[in-house]
Amino acid sequence: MPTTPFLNRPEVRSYGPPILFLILGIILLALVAFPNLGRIQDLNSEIATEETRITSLKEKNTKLLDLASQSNEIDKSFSSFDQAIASESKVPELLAEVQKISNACGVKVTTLQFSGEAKQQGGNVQEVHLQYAIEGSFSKLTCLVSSIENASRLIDIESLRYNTNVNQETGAATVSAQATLVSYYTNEPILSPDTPISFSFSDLSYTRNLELLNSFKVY
Amino acid sequence: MVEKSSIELIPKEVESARGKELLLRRLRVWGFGFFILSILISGGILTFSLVNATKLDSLKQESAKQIAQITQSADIESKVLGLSEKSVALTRILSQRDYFSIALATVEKSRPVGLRVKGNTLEAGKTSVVIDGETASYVNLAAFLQNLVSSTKGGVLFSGVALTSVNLNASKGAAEFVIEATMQKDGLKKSLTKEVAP
Repeated sequence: MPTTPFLNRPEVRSYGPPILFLILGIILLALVAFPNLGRIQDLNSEIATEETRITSLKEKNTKLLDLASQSNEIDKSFSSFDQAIASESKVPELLAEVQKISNACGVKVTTLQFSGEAKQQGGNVQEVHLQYAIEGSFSKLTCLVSSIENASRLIDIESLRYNTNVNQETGAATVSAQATLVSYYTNEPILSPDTPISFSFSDLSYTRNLELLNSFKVY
Repeated sequence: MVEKSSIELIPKEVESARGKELLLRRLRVWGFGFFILSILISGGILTFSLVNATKLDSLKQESAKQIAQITQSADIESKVLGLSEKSVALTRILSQRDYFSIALATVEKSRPVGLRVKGNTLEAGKTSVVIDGETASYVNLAAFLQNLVSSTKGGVLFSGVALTSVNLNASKGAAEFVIEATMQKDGLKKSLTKEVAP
């Protein structure tokens, strides 16, 4: 008995095409529609992120252009702040400043040495430590402490210890003091286009600090 | 009354063939319709996806353009960020600073004539100060202890004093003493706004 080929069977010829269309439709949806549906969601999210980013970048650009027009003022302010908190350790300059302050108060420096650096917790501030010892009178010591506190390069006294020795013959009192001094510097900022600029010349904290720095003495 | 009974004239086979024909027709319509609908849905989604991808590309180009402009102002940006960082650091450093000049001045202000402060130990962040000295008179020592906590003298800084030791140095004819004075909280700090004031 002759066998009919599968594709020529009447039920295949009748039901085959609609079932094939159904299967093709399902395949199309599975391979094209559903994956792209997920991609659309991702793209929409990326578009929203990119639009927000562009808005921030435009704001930053506008702000930078505005600040560029005030570059002289920025340079002047930066110079004042850089004098207080340097952009690098500048240890020789720091030692020279401490020596100048000591000379201004008339004390004799017996020890002045750099004793290392440390990173301050939080922020981008590095500490420079100095060991310092002097000899002089009590009034000179108070002059020295006040002068260090009001020096244009910020120097903190971390510890201070002094002793008074009296010369039995002359009766003259000599104060010997030892101190640990800490000065500061910030590293060059790492620039990123996405970092917003929040700085403003009218910021109260900034204007107060600038005023404060102008009251400090440059040695 | 005689009930009417329905008479089926169409043969069962013909009725079954018609049913199959109807089912087949519906299946063809549904199959083809579903296929067309799938093409439309997939095409729509694909087009929308391509449009969004193109939009994202153009947004990225715009971002790159803005970044290029920002890079041109790198020098200003570096100074402004540096300024901002330094200002924040300055506020923090000065607000946390212990002004030892306050302690030295307060001890000196409280010291009676005839009493000598031989030494002083101050450490940032600590609330106590060790003062050692000598005096020929216990009356002076008592006055010193009183002055250190007196509201018009040392009391502005010190909240309490404790005499740790007193030794009579016979060769000198003076009493050597050690005092531990406790400072008020933030007694050595200065307000940043006050500091600016003349």
